[in-house]
Amino acid sequence: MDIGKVLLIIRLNVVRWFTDPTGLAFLLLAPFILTVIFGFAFSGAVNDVPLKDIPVVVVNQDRGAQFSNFGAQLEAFFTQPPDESLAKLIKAESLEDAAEARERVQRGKAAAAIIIPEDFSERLNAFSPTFGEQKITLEFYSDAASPISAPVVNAILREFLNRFTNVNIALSAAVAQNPLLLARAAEIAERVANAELPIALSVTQGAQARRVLFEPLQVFAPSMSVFFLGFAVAVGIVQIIMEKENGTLQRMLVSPTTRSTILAGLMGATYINGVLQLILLIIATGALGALMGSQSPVWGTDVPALLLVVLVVAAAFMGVGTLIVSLAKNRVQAQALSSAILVVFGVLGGAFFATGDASAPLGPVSYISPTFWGSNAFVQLTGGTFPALHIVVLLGIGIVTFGIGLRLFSQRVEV
Amino acid sequence: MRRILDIAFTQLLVQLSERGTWITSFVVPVFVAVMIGIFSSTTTIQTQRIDVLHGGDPLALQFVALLRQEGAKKTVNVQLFEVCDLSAPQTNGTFCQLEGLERAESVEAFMSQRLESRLTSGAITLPSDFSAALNNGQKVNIELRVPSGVPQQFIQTVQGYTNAVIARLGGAVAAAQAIKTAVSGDQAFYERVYAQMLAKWETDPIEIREATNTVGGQLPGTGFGHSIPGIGSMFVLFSATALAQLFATERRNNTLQRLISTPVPRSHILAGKLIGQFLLCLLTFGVMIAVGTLIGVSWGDPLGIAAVVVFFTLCATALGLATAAVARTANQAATLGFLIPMIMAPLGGAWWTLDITPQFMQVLGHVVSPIAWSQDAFTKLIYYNAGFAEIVPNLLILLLFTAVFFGFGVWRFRLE
Repeated sequence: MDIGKVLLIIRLNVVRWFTDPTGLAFLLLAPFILTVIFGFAFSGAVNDVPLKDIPVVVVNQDRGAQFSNFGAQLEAFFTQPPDESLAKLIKAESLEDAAEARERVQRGKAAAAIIIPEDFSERLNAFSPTFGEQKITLEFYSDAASPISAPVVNAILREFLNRFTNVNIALSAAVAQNPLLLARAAEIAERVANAELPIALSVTQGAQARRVLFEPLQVFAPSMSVFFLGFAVAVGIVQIIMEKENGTLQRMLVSPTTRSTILAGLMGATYINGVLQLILLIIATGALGALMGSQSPVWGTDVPALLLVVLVVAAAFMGVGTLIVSLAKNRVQAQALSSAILVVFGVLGGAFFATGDASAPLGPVSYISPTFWGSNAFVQLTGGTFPALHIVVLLGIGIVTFGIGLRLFSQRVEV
Repeated sequence: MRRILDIAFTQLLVQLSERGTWITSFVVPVFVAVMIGIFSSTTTIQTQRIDVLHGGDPLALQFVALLRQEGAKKTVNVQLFEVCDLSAPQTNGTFCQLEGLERAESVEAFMSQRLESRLTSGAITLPSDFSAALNNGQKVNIELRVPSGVPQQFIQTVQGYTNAVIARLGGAVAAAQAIKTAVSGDQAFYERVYAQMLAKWETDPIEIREATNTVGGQLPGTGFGHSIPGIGSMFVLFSATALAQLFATERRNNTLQRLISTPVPRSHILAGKLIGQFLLCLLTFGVMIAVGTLIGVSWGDPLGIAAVVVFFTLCATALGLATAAVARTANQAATLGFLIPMIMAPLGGAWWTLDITPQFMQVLGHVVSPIAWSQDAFTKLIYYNAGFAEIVPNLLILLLFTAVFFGFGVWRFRLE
């Protein structure tokens, strides 16, 4: 094998690739744009920001009772919250019509609608002999698209109703013990309502571990880069089939150049292109991360380890790409097969999901995807862990698939 | 018309005779949609564990029972949290994963370990003299410990439900104490009132009837109801934009030139090719809808679904023509045919619901991608039981996209 000629073929092919605007758009622009989309799409999805201004609508249909209108109290609790924290959390509005309130929820304009029935006060009369025998039903209509906000509103409603019910139950119990207390009902109700709860809840959040905040680019930049690396390698190998179909491979063989030299040059060029593609994407998405205000470098700080992972990931995909293309009978089939298999690997490897961490998106099934091992190796590295296992697995994938693929492929490009 | 249909069906049959078409138009879309559907339906909301440690006294047991009741509530078929009673391990289900408790140095150490490893999302500790302190009128502090990394929103939810339990349990104690003080009653009076209150609380007089705005109890934008139409739309775009490659290849092979030299008008050739590609795209969507039906997607109004499928496919075909008008070579056509769907799909909410993205991404998606409008229509039909009338605006906007793409395509496209 003539190393000089191999290097010449590599240089010519690399230059050709990186001066082709269409190829650049496919191999660099596409993953970059998708990383940007992922970055912006998930920049606010998984965060640590407390809930606030939850839109709620309250419909008070309560006719009231002789001495009070409990529905009005409940409505006021939400529309004019008694404390600042609740005022920040809930943004409630009163409505007359229950159907309109439900429609607000249906349209996603409100996280929940609280509909107070017209006999609310009447039924809640603690002195009625039937108090507690029949349930008083409030309607809580929530937006399924607000899986966190709606339960929070529900919990606040439940807390208020428990306090409220407690006063009425207390009055009922007191009068049952001593009927003369009925004359002091207002005083007792006030005392009970103002009584301080004997249980206080304090919340402490641990700070023992490093704070785990989701940095979308640290997950999606590697997954998109690795996903498109597969395509880059497949396109490179398909190019060799095209050379044969166009007759340029045959012309090269007419020259005093051995078959192994040509194949090594073309395969080498594909590998170098893959490595360069990854490096350029690392630089571009790293800069993007800095511009988007990422709290830590998108690709970590261990440059030698990063380069090692780049070389290993590219090698693994070189093998995978060679094997896929070698299974096809012609160029068209090779393109369809490589696209299909690489998309499947992308799905299994989590290229289309927002897992938010380095876990396998589809459990053990993800382990068969080199995209998972490749992108996960980068994510591990960014998190400060050297991905030794990933490197071993990727090298294994690379060696095995390249070995089988090259054997089959050599037979295919026999001229 | 017959010539147009001849060209259309010939093209459709030629494409269907290739194994690659079957893989890229039917097999891969189904696989991707199913995988994304499985992923999105299992990861959106997960039940969290909340550990409770107490002294086993009556009020503590009642606290656990009430909190367990609150935690059991389901939001769109998913339980928010499950209470794991570390002081009474036998009362818990397998979900709590308390297997290592017997081997642990102490229950406290076991709880701390669960918090550190994030196996549990919160731990509530009640003092061992919980009942005695409350009955003696003393104030009791309970602590909710949350590991780092648990989102504030989840903490707010657990805090809310715990406060609801406190309002009921503590409220009864406080009320009985207040009444005792008001009437200068003795401890026996307090106990009688308190017992009476507990009896009344047994049949909580107020009931909250909960309902959600969704059909089938599934969170909108998750599961197969989102992934099947979303991924279907993306692959319909792939199929439609392949029209550019088809023209480029036919030009290179000179088959297009031969067709032009026949007495068939160029407009008929173009119409035939467009209808052929439209039919292939319709077939792709049809297979996706069929697979979705098999795996249990409730599509809602059939007329509405059919209208969205047809209008979107029309729009995708027009986009295919616009792509063919721009691409000059087979390579360019292949690149654009890959780039356009891959960008429009995530922007339009095909991979995930746009509801979870920032506002500007939602606006951008609706401006750039017709998928955003078709997905909105599918969501209304599948999750909110909407009727045909409610998706008319979406159909009109899809028509507008079609007009723009088609207008551009017809203006710039050259068969030669």
